[in-house]
Amino acid sequence: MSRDTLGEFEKLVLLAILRLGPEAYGATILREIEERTGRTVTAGAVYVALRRLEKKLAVRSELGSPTPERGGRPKRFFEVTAHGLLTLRAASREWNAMVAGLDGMLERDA
Amino acid sequence: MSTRDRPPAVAERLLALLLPAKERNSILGDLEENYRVRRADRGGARARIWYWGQAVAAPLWIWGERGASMITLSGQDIRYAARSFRRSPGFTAVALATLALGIGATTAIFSVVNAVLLEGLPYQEPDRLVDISHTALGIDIERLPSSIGMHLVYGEQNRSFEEVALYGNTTANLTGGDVPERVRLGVATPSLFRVLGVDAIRGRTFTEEEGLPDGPAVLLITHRFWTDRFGAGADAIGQTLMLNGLPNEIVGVLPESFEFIDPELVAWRPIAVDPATAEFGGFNQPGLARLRPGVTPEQAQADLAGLLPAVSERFPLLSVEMMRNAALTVEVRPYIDVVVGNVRTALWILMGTVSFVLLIACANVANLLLVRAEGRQREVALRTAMGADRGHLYGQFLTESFLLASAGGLLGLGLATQGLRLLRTLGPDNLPRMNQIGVSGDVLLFTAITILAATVVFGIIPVLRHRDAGTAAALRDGSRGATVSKGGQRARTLLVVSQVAFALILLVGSGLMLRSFGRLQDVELGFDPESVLTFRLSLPSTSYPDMESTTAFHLAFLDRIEAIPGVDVAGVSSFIPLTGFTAVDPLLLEDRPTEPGGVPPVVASRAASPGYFEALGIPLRSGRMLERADAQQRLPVVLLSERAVATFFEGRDPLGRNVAQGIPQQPDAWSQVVGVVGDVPYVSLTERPMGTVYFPVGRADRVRGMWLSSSLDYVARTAVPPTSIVPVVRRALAELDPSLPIANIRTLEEVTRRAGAQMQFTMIMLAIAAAVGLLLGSVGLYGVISYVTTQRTQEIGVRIALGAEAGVVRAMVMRQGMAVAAAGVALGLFGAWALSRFMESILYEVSATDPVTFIGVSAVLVVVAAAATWLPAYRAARIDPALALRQE
Repeated sequence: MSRDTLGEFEKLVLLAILRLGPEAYGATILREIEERTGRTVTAGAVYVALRRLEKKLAVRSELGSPTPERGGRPKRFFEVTAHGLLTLRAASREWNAMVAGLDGMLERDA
Repeated sequence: MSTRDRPPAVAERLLALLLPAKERNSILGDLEENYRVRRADRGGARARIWYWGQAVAAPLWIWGERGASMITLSGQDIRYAARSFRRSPGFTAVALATLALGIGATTAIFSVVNAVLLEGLPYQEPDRLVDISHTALGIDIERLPSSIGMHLVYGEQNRSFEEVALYGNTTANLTGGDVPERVRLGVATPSLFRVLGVDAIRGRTFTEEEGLPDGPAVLLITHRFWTDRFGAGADAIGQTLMLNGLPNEIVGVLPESFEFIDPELVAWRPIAVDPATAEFGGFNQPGLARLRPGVTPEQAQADLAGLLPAVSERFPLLSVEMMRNAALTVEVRPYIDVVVGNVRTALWILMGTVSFVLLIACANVANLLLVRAEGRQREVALRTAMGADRGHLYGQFLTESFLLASAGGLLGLGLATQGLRLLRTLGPDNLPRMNQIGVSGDVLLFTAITILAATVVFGIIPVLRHRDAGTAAALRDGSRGATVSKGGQRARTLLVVSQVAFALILLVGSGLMLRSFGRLQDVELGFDPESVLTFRLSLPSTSYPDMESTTAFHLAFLDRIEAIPGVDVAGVSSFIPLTGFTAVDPLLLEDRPTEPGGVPPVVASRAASPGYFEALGIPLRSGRMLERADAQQRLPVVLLSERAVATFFEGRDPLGRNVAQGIPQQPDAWSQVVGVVGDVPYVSLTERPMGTVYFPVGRADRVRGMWLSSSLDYVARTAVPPTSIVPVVRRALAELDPSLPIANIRTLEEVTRRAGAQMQFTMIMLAIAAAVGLLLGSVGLYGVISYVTTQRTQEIGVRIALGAEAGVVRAMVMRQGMAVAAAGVALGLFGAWALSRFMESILYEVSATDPVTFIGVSAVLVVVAAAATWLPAYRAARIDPALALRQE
């Protein structure tokens, strides 16, 4: 797998970060994916994806200040880099190109 | 915040251990946040299960990203796995039980090993603490503690230690409460607390002045005593406790975590030593020292060895020549060795043993999975043909293995917790650091790693099986029962052979232990422990200041005990057998003076009353027993034990000769030998009895008489159950002196049983391990033989149709099973022969390669293997050829 292609789950994580904006950290990313897709996701899968995305320079992270409602532990906030956004756009273009014209078929099941 | 808001603490600790420091806090925070969200949405139980799931899965994604991408733990995969487990409840139950037993046993023993052997001692920089002791092999003494004289010279002249200390323990009568109490005290030079690096939490530790002979009588009390007696009040400092009738002022309270030599101690008292006037003293107190940074125990030992001449210079009683004749050497060992002592070997052997159990369990589950994998080849082929992603399929298998291993691991953890509870109640009292044993973070980590390893091992098996199997081939092969592959069969047979081999090794270990224990039961005790009550009584020197009052009291009390209905005979001695007391003194012969510089042989000394020998059934070999007049008139007579006679008189008649104890320059009063009695083991069952000299109670012995007679063990042989007379004995004592407490009330049988407790403990643990190993091994053998037989149903059907007799078919299947068992036994015998020598030091009068054990356990294993093979053989012989052939 080349450095710049994204796995399926990695795309979901990237999209979740974009949706969450400044509130994107481990716990919210996991909830966002679970709520939107209806899948059960293990925390481990999210952290592994985040590690890989960070290695691919698609996201960067920053440690926040300690928060009392989490037992006084800090949040690690994630944000999509410009490079990450480009890669995601490319993936989205490919997807849309393939889906174009099939809307009816794909919607039926939803 | 209530604790219910928090995620499960154990799971959280497990995660904290596993997570790399960089990510730990943020991830734990994320999980805690989501735990709360889940709790609010779906309730506490489901949230806890979710959290545990994350914790158990953690090792996989923390250490193996690839594993995590395969084990998605997605709802779909879990549901699929659960369905496949439900479809084969037998497989699931056997696999879970096997794993739970294997992981449970390993975790339980690891908890013990971890607490007893691996954790550092709870003192400041424990690696620098060393024990100072001596050996005198020239006079057959393997370990001598330190003495005041040695301590002083070592303390002043060594170049290796920051500081040295002496310590010991004693008992005292504590009065002033509702009832008089016998309490245990520690004694120590003031330096002990600095050496250990412990400070008082209230008040202070001892000052140097309090360690001088005329210093103030002060006490440091333990945290437990402080809580029990003073309700942990600040006013305890400065209060006075009456010990043996004398006041002692409390100057400090020790921390709750502090424990040294004995968890039952109530207080510490200073050992009084004045460097200016001190005498050499006996070799009675162990020495402890703190090494200077960078100094090794070996260097310190060499340093102290060089100081022995200086000891002699300062204390001429111990001449250089005597040291040489006694082969006196000094030994400096890490203090941890003293604490864990002889259980180290036993525990490592147990740890090795349970790892074998775990290996057998893993082999069993691997085998079960292999069988399953064969059965599912078609399913996999079909799904692959229909376009299923192979990676995803493997992920499902891994998910299954992982769920299996985790569930087995959690069950095992529960089993271990229960097992440890049992262990704490059953374990020998002398297992050190017993109270620290528990499921700690290290233990959880150990279990997690075990589960991870098990997952990888099991998970890989079906994946390997399927990777090589061509889809087309598996699909083409239409018949259901005939997919047995050569490779799979070989792998399974190998697994079973190794199971049998491991089981045999376990059986040999427990067999050797069993034989040792049997030998121990046969040890000629030299006394009859049946129906004897024993207890200890100490007379405080304040109320009983001299030999007259002491003797009068003991004789009067003995009279009262003997008057109790049901008591046959009663007696006293300084120490009863098997209580581990080893103090010895030189024995001198009047008509054969010790050569200058020579070292007289040493014997144990005891005071005894006439009834002692009768109550214990110690036989008289020649001469006469002690008589009441000897005690009353305190006559200068003694009895010797057979071994003492053999050592000193070399075949000549000892009767009528005069002996004395003490050092050659200053012998005590001479006493005439009037009788010889049988030997009795005073120290332990496995050591041969020491020569012993018995003085009559109350002998006006200048040095030793007083301390030998003020604290005595009473023995009473009864015609009724021994403990039934305890209340009457207490009443009789109260009539004589209501201020005296009775201690150590036990039957002599109990004393004897305890002496064998540690070996018994090791034996039971090994026997349990061996039984589990044998069970799992035979289940494995049964499983493989019945599987193979099922696979051969058609072939056997054909044979039967062609006229093969039932007996022949049975023999054929049996032969196959027994060949596997025989290979396992052969391999196991070789393994046991190689490994059993590690057990040598804990065996007693049994060789590590004892042929009886080796042959015996092989026979047991062969019989069990035959039983495990018989059932499939029996079934094979009853195959209905018509049915079997119709399957084609």
